[in-house]
Amino acid sequence: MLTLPCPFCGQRDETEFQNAGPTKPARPDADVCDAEWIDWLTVPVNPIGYVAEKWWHAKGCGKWFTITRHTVTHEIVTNEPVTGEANNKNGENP
Amino acid sequence: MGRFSAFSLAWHALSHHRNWTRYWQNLPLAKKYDVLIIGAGGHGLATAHYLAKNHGIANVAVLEKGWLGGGNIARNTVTIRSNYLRDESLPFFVKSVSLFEGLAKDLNFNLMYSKRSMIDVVQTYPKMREIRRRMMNGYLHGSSYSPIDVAELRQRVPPLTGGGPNSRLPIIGAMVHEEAAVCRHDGVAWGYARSASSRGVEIHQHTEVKSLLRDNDGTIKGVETNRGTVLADKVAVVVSGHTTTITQTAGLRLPVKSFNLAAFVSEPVKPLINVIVNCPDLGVYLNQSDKGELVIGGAPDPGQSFRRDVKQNVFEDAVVTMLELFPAFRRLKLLRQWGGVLDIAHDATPIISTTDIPGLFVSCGWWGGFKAVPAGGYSLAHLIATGQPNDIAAPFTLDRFRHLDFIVESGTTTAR
Repeated sequence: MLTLPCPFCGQRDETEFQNAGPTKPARPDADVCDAEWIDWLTVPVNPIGYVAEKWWHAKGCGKWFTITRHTVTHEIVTNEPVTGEANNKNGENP
Repeated sequence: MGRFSAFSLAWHALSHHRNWTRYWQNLPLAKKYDVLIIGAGGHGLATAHYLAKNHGIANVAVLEKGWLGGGNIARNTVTIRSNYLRDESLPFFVKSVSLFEGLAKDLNFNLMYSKRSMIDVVQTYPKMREIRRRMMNGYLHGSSYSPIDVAELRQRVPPLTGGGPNSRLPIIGAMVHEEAAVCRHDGVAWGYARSASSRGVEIHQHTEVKSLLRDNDGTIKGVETNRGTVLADKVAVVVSGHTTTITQTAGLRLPVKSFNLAAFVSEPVKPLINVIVNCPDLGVYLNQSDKGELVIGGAPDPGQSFRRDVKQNVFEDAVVTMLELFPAFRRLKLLRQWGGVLDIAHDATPIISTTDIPGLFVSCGWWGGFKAVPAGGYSLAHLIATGQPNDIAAPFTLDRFRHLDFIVESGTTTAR
């Protein structure tokens, strides 16, 4: 079991959290071509290595945050809260 | 290559079984082939078999990083079924189940195929509605899925004593999928390898593909391996969870993510369950092998993973939920456990497709791909040989992502 660093509650068991997949790059502008839009919409990163991913402390404080985790060793290297609209008041996945 | 038969068995008994030929030949690696298949697993070897048998293309090499049949074909829960939801998925998996049924004869290899029905135990009304929808669409496509009541369920699965009226999630019904079967998973890999090799296909184990090579005009030229460069005009990537690892070496991006899924095997006990039992509301499924071991599957790890292990909490969840329905199993010892890397697209539907790189083919996104091995190989071989997908695999191309025309499938995973 992993222990995840919630920015509000500290180190908590993985079972309290909901994984929301890898973070996406910034949404492209409206004048982007179809191919680039489809790529942004459908293609996630899938590295053997570090992946930045969103987690939701669903069975805890409700905080959304991003960590960088290694997909083989599970090593967690950074911990920064999701900022702006992504962490809205209702605790919903944006 | 000698055929297996009662006569050949008796004939070889005279020489104390010392003169059987090997299942597949070990030939030196050539510089160029017509087709390269990356991955000697179920789908890769099936593709080689059908390329040689149905399309007469035998100048084929199957390249394998580890050993033949050592990946997900060795790591599944051997369930063969076709109880899917969508019009696009059902004909494909119905075909796969029917190919499995005749496969032992086709390959002249004993696969210990055992048709034994799968029973889905339903404990919530949303699942009942979803599963009834699958039932009705299954009837249209020739995949049986019939409701039975709780009394009949308990009679057919005697150890299922939990889930009573006062439990956390009382059982409200069940659904029987009669075509479901199990078979010897290693035998599928070995049988396809033996058949492909006898038709001239070369299988090269311990040959790791480091990168895909492209010509100046962008088409595929071959692959770079730990044993040198191998050229081919057509290359098929059939490596399950590591598909993106290979395709990114040619700059190709694919809409799949890889996850770790775990399974366990108990100590062998007397025969007590003769069907495959699936509990979708709890996220656990099990069947009993011919040796008597209970083969138990659980839920995937949250988050992407290339780690073939079992997390303690995933293991405990599977055991606790199983004991809710099968309290008598609390004294069973679990002997072995393993994980496997599976990939899935967000619409939970496989991809058998040409790509933006001419000459490069991919077969991925299978999640549990064991049930699809014959139809997957059959369809990918057709695509490689003719350049066009066959009828059953036509919906599974990458075009559905370009047109945002997804096939959102609920029948892909047993556990969720």
